[in-house]
This record gives sequence, C-alpha cells and structure tokens, in this order.
Amino acid sequence: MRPVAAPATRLSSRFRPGAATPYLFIAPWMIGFLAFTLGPLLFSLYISFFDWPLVGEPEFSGLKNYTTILTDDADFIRSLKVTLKFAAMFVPANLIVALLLAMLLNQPMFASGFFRAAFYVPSIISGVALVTIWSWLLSHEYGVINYMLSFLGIAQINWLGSPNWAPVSIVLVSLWSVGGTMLIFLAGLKGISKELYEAASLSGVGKIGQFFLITLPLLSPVLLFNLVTTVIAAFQQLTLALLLTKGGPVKSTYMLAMYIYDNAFKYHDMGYAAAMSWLMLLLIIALTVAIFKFSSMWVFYETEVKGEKP
Amino acid sequence: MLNKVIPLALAAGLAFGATGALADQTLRFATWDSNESLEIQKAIAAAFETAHPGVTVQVEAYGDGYDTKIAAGFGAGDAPDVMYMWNFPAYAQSLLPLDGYLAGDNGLDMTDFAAGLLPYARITNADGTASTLGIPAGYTTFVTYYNKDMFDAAGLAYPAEGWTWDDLRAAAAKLAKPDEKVYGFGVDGNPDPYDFETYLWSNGSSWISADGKTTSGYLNAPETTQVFQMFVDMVKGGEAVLFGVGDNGSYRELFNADKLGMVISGTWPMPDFEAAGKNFGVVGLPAFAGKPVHSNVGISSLSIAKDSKEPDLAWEFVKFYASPEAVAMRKNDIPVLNSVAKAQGMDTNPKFAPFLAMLPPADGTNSPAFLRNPNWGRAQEVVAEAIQQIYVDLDGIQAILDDAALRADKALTK
Repeated sequence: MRPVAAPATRLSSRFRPGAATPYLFIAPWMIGFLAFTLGPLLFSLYISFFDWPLVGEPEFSGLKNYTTILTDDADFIRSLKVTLKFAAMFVPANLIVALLLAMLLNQPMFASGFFRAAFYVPSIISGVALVTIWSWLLSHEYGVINYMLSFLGIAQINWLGSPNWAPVSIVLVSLWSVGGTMLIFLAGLKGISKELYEAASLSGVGKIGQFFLITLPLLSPVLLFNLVTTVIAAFQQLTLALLLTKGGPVKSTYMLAMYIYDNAFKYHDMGYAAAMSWLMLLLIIALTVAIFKFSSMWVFYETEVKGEKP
Repeated sequence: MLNKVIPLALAAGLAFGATGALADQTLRFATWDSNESLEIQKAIAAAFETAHPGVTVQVEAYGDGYDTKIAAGFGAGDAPDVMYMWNFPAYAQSLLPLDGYLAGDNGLDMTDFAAGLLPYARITNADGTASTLGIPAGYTTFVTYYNKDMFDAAGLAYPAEGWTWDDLRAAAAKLAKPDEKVYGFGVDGNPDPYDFETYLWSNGSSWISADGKTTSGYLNAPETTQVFQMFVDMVKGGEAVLFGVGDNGSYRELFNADKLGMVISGTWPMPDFEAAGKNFGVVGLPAFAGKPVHSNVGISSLSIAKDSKEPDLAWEFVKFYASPEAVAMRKNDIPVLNSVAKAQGMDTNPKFAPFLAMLPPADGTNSPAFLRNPNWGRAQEVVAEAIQQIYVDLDGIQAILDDAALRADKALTK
C-alpha cells in the first residue's frame, strides 16, 4: 500500500522487533504438535527397533520386529486382509453415499439449512454412543432392523454374530458418520457454476449426461481429496471394531489397527506394535502415492483440458 | 529380592514405631470396580483414613480400561501405590514381593483366608523361588443358578449338590420349549477361556501342561473335545441357548424373563436376579460322571507397586483391606476370610454356601493357565477364537482344537 516504505521494511524485516510475534501466536499449536504428535511419532520409530516391554528393560533388536511381522506373523497378514476387505467395502460405499446426500442437499428446496445440519449431526455423536445404539439396532433376536426386515419376508440376519455379516455391519455403522465427507462434496458442488448446466440443457444434454459430463469432472479434485482421506480413515478404523464386535466373531473384524492396539496395550510389546504402525504408515503412503499417480488420468482442474497438448 | 525387602521392612517398622502417625501422606489406590462396588472401595479407604489420621487415600477407578491404564502407569513410572491385581505373571517385575512383610508376626491371620485363594497370588520366579505378590481381597467361584418358578411349573425337583451334567441335561430338556424361545440352559458362546477352564478341570483336562510348556495334548485332548461336544449337542438339541455371540441380549434378561432355566456364573448376576425379584436357587457345579468338580476362582487381590514411595504405608493399607472389618464391608463378592463368611452366615445360607463349597483345594492343583506360562496372554487369544469358531460352526470341534493347539504353542514362544 505504501510503496515508499516498502523497500526499507523488506531489508530490515528479519531483524524487526515484532517479527517473532506471528510465531508466538502459533506457538501453542507448534508446541502441542512437537510434544504430542511429532515427538511421539519419532519416538515410536526409535522404539520400533527395540524389544520394548512396557515394564522391564528395553533391548535393542535391530530390524527383528519388522522381519518377524513380515515373515512370521500370520495374525498380521490376516488382520491386514480384514482391513483391505473393509476398505474395499467402506471406501466406495462412503463416497457414493456422501455424494448422493450432497447432491440431494444441493437441490433448491425448503429448509435446506435444516437438512444440511440434520445430515451432519450423526457425525458429531461420539463413537461409543454410536456403537451402543447400533448394537441394539443390529441385535439378532430383538433388533429393530431385523424386525423391519421381517415385514419384507427376510429371515433374521445375525448381523454381529456371524463372521460373514459382521464386517458388513461395521461398514454400515461407519456410514453413519458420512457427514464430513458429504459437506466437502457439497462445497464442491456449490462451486460448479450454474451456467454450465444451463448451457448443457440448452444443448439437449439430459440429467444423467450432465452428471457425467459436468458434475463428476468438475468435482474430481474434491473426489480425489475425499478418496485419499477415506482410504486413510479405513486403515485407521479402530473404534467400531473394538467396541461393536471386539474384532470377532472368529476375528472376522479384527483389523490391523486393532492388532496393533492389542500388541501395545494387551501384550505390552511396544516395540513390535510401533514397528507395525510404521509398516501401516508406509502402506498408507504407498496407497496415497498410487492414488495421486493414477489421479492425473481422471482428475480435472478448472483450466486443464485433457487429451490435448496445450 | 527377599533379602532386600526384609531389612527394608524392619527399618520401616522402626520408623513407624519412632514417629507414630505419619503426617500428611497420600496413598494412591487403583481399582477396576465401578458403581456400588466402587462405593464400597471408597468406604473402605475412608475407614482407613479415619484409622490413620493425616493419610489421604486417593481412590482411582480405572474401570474397563484397567489393564491399559495400569500398564501405562508402570511404563511411565507413575503407577499407583496399591492396586487391584489378578494377572501377576504379566506384572511380576513391577510388583513388590510381599514375602518380607508376611514373614513372622505380621498382624494378618493367614490361616483365616479361604483355602485355595493364596496360590492365585503366588508366582514362581526364574530362579525357582516363589514370591507372593498379592493379598486376596474378594473372590467368587462358579455356581449354577436355577429358576425355581420354571422348575416348579415343569414339576421338576430342584438340583441338589453332587448332581451331574446328565442330570442338568435331563432337566434342561424338560424345561426347554425352543418354539417359544424358552431354554433349559445357557451356553456362553464367547466365554473367557479363564472361566471356561473350570469345565476342563472338572473333566480331567486343562488348557496347558503343568510345566506351562505346551498346549498340545491338553487344549486338544479328548477330554477337552468332550466338553465342547456336550455344549454343542445341547445347543443343537434345543436344550440350551447360545448367548454372548455379538448380541446385546444377555442371559440375565432371559433368566429374569423366565426364558432360561439354568445358567453358570459367579456372584456377578446375583444382584440383578435379586433386583428383579426372581425366585432363584443356587447349587454347585454339576460333575462329569465320576470325576471331581473343580471351579476356577475369579479373584481380586491387592498388590503394591515396586516403585511405591510409601511401601510401608501401602502395606498397612493392604493389611487393613484384609482385616475382618474391611472384608465385612465388601458386599458384592464372597468374603476372603472364613471368619467373616461364618459371621455373615454364608456357610449355611443356601444362596452362598455353594460358592464356598466350590473353592479349590489349598494345594494349588490345577492352577490356571496364566500362572503356568507368562506368555499365556497371546495363546489365550488363540483359544478364545477357537471357542468362538466352535460355537459358530457347531461342528468340526477336534479339527478346530488341533489347529488352535498348534497356533497356541507358537504364541507361547513369542
């Protein structure tokens, strides 16, 4: 704004007395981040090279934890498979339901603010309350859901007691907190200009065509973001499995995060659990990188035209 | 360890004598109890405070997250001074051996403790010596609850001590009306393997060998398979209902609704049955024909952290906890002192006498698996999963147990 003063300010800005002020303002967050996130993170990397019992003396063991996990731990492989199976169901279900809800809410309608809040509210219910409610709804003999299904002539489903149905139940319950993803989709939808749809209708493109030719391509950056965060969420899923099914029956919902938790807090094998967490992080990073690589094929940014050299 | 503790105890005794009451000390005491049981702990702590002016007892109720919080406390060097304990092998390194305190005239009448409880708090050290790591505070054995109204309606005689599984099954078959969802007996589909070992012992088997080295030939022994086969047959035949598999509908509701004739448990459901005004009876566990019954014990003991800065005060608290005065205050389990059980008339009360009768022998035969191998925790997961598998499949028991024995043995060496 004041061009005359600008050069002088720029030269001395480093040494200006007030220069530290912004850092002071973010200091509480920074300190918290260093002490409670980055610190423990690096420490967990350190202890992953040890045989580290919760009580007793830690012993350096090099890469032993990692090699044991990868070559000699059937439970790791099994819980990884359970997690992948969960992710394969959860990610598409979560994205599709969130997008459908967002498109519904994007319609001009009566009390849209109310509905927006109503659809989001389940996301703020704590995991424990959610699990308690759903365990009653899904109850085999007395559950409301089986009662409703009985009107359709569908026999009682043992939602939580059968190894085949329990993973499906976990996916169903986790859809309850689809609100966050939905809101991000909704924001993306609001950003698509109305003129595009008007132009398309004038050219005779139907609703379904508009969805695939306008909505989906223009929403693709948002979709990418939601895809990545949902995949990460799928891998970190712990609360539901821990509380709703306790990993059962017969370990059918015993996910990787739960196995890590058990190693740390049930068997008190902190080094082993830490090593497993780092392997999970590597896996998530690999998946994310793969998604990003793959994304250039289907994600469109506004100024970009696919298939033509600029 | 012992030679370290004894001089310490002596020195402490001198210190006590010299200073009399210790001023303004805080003792941290952690419990897994909640609700009414927690209130009882607080009342006992308050009574201790009254008897020891200047001492504050901070009762820390960890509830369901007990193991995690205790383990984290030890890991961080910030464990409570006194804590509830059952899994002694897992925490042995962090607990103060009490043998030094127990030696000689310690103010506790050890002979008054109910027989068979003390071995549960004793572990064998690596050098072959044994250490006592806890003092029993409360316990329950396993008994059979039966619904008297249902027995009356079916014109059946009540179960009597010395009965067998054949008797139970005959009664269950008469009580059951599967079409109306009425069952004679409840089979826990997801039992704690610790509790379940009761049935194995009673049929001459166990989860693990006496030396704690292997589960093969025990976990998959013919006697083990027989036990599971019996429960599976009961479920398949409609005599019994399977509960506890991924469902909130608990056996207590069924029992209170006159839809369940008999169930095996500890003292835990009794307050529920009483509150519902059920007309129920209690009888010992049925025997496998010709074999002695042997119940496991759900037991809460009190231990002292090795790092406690106030070990002597902590010991005073533990002693107080095991005193007739404090033991009499515990209402939600069976008194650990024979004198208190007698004073409360439990040995003649038909609802409590079976609990006393089910006490294990004092020689520590059939000690539970976790006392036989410190790595039992991981193996127990394998066993728990195998049990679930059996009750989901209701078939192929021997193959499931054979596979479980292989995996459990591997887990023991991890």
